Amino acid sequence: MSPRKKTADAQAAEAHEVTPESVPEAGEVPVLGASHAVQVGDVVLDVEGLNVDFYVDGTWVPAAIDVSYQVKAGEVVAIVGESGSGKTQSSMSIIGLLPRNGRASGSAKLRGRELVGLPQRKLTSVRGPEVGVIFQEPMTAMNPVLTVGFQIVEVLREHTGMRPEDAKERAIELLRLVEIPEPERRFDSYPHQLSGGQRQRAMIAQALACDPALLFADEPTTALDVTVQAEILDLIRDLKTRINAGIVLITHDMGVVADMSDRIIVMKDGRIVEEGTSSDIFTKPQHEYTKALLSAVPHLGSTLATKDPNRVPQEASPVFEAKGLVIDYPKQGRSPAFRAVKGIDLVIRAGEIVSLVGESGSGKTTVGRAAVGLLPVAEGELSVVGTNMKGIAKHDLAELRKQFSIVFQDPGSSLNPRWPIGQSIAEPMQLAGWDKERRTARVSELMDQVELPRSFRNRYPHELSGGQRQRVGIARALALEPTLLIADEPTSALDVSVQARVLEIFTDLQRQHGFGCLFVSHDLAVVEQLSDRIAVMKDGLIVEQGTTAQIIQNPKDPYTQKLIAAVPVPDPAEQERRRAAANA
Amino acid sequence: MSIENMTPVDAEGLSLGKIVWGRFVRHKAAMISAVVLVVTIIIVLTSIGVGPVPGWWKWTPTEIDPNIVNGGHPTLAWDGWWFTVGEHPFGQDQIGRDVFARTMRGAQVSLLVMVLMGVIATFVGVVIGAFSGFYRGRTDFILQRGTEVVIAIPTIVVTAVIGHKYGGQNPALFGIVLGLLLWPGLTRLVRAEYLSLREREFVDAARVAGASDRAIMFRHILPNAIGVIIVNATLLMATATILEAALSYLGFGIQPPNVSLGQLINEYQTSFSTRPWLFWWPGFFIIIYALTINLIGDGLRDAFDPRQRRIPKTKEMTKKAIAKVETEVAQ
Repeated sequence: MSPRKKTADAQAAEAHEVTPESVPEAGEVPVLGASHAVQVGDVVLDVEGLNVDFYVDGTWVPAAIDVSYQVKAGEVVAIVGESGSGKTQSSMSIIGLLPRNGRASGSAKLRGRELVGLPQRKLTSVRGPEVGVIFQEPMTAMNPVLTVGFQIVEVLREHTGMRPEDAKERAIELLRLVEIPEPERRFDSYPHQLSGGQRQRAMIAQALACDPALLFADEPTTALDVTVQAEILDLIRDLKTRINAGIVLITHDMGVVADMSDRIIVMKDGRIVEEGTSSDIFTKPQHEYTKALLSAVPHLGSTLATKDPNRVPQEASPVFEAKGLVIDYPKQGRSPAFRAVKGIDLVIRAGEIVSLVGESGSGKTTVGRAAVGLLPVAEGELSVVGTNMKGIAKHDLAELRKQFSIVFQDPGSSLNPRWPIGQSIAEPMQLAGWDKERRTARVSELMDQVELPRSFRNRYPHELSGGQRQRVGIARALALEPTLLIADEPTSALDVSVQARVLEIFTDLQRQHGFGCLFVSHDLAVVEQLSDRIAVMKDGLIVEQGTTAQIIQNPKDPYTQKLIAAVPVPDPAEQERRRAAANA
Repeated sequence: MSIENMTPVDAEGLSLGKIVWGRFVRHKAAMISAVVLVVTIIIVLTSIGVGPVPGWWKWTPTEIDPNIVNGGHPTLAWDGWWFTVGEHPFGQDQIGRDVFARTMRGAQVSLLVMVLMGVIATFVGVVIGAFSGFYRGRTDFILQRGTEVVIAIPTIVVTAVIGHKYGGQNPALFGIVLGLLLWPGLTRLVRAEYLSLREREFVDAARVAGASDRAIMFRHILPNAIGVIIVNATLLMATATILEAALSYLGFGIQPPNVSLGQLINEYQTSFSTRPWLFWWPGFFIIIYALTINLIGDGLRDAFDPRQRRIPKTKEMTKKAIAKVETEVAQ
């Protein structure tokens, strides 16, 4: 550190003389803007024939094959692909963040300097000053026991040898750059004291601390609510023009990249299948896979025309009826009781799909859990399949459970990992006292209905893909032909293309079996596809409810309007128009 | 993106048992230990026989051979090609009893104590830990305070009383008492497992399907906690061997004329300088038991814990990489 420190001022003085070709030393004090001496249009990253392999069970399995692309300063390049397509690993290999059993070959030049094969010791001077990374989940990517400010200052001091006061000043400046309110105060906050969006902003500030020439954003908005996602995307788009860096955006969602990126790279099974400018990819996709990815993204408003508002007759008997429903999370240890739902009215008729939409913390999942008796009703009334759930006796609840069921959000955790899936599907029947022969027949029937091969019966959940697991979850929920089905974000853990398939199966099954359904989701575009009516929840209250067409086309409540405006549309032109409208 | 996704989805379905077995077999120390332990147990059980069934060894533990061979020294020797067993391979004690037969009997008794103790401690520990972790609240409070009381009971005092009162002639009783005293450690671990597993969604899913509390505790959660239980039960049994030996050595455990490994050492401690082989053999079997069971426990721990993934050696990875390039070039 110390020799660098001595020369820091001298280098800063020379900084303006540095030519674009030469690599500046890490010692200079960066100034917001283009101190890393790249001009807009310079090639920052040049990847040529990059291969990534992993050593698994005694063989090398390729994760990325012959990947080549370029990133220019001031440009956003989006790498799109499903989980397992190699998009993340190909990027992480460039900055030397592969796991130990990973291996990269080929070439990746950062401003002319070869990074593949560079020893870790030298890579540390690349990560930070030259390349910044924004991770998916800021809660886990930031150290929970250090303040946000400290973590930014640490990066600055490590790489620039700034004095602590200067580093603090610069950190606050960065927090202001990423539009965190009250940056002086937030400087001393711990990560858990910030909201999800603010955390992600703080991490962006940290990534930008040393003014890198290249920024990797690995699914930067996947863990965020849709309105927050819109804000973060706005910020990244804005930064593109304010800092002079090349940005690589890694994502699985075509909707997210629509108006963000200048160029798009589509990856499948480790290979680049298509590359082109953003408008080309969206308007004239060449490769079959790109087309499939695009069509899998739900378009808001695209299915409204086919909706029949009278599909379910008005006089159908209600299977779920809440009046002034209040639900508390009981006191646990030192955390006090928490009122999650503060009095809602909601009716679901037999055969109807009603969606409950809201952001995290709105109480929507709580309603679903109370409906299946996992949480007690505190006040108000809740009747499920004609039985009052308030203070229901254990015995009555056990009897009632044959008539409703639930599909959970994460099929990876809602299936017992030590049970073969056949056994998991059969469990409700076994508990209802069916004999073995009848169970076996029904399991086969259900597996056919969710389009899983019958031979999968003896497999364990970890041997199935996410989409297959969720189909098992649905099959299990339908085992006893329920009259009411609660679906708690059943597709939010799935890739977009898989989600489309699961939703299709779900809708078909609903038409066949005719169960009433409470579909809990945060994604309005998904909800629109399958629901008859929509209820929008915020802070434990339903702010608006109506038929799908009413809510999507003509939202009355400002919160609903905000939610709808935030849904990304896989169409750059439309997205631009909407952004202009929102800013006006 | 994860590495798991790269394995083809259509791979043959493996049960948990097969996966664990596959990993266990790769653990060299544990495999060797398992073989050694099995061979030892077979020799221990068949040599002098169990109960009324006679064994293949010519002496019994209590039989006195008036003819002291070679001054009582072990006759086990190496003739350049193979072992020669001789009349008394482990030697004879002061009054001419065959040390091999006595050690075998001691090993049998120690084995019985160890197995009984392991089974009982595991059963009690799992049941109490399961109830405690699953129900939390009051149940947990009461059970855990009870556990603390058991922890506070000094094992040596209780076993001394039992040994004194019942003459230390009853190894089964001894094993049961040890089992009833040594479960708290396992209870704590099982409770912790249950506390975290009960929050998993598959428990909610089972509840909505209508499963009773017992079914959730023992059919759903138990298979998920089985790794922790098996591993700690084996380690507990290794501890039990040593504890039994220590107690018997102190004169609190098995009493003469009954024989256990620790009691043998106790009995012969006066002849330490004159007939050291009287210590070698019981000590050797204590080490065999404790070491092999500990290593098997280690192997099981690694096999059950998917996080303990074996990172291949750089050399091995490089070799495969070169081989791959070569085949590509050849093509």
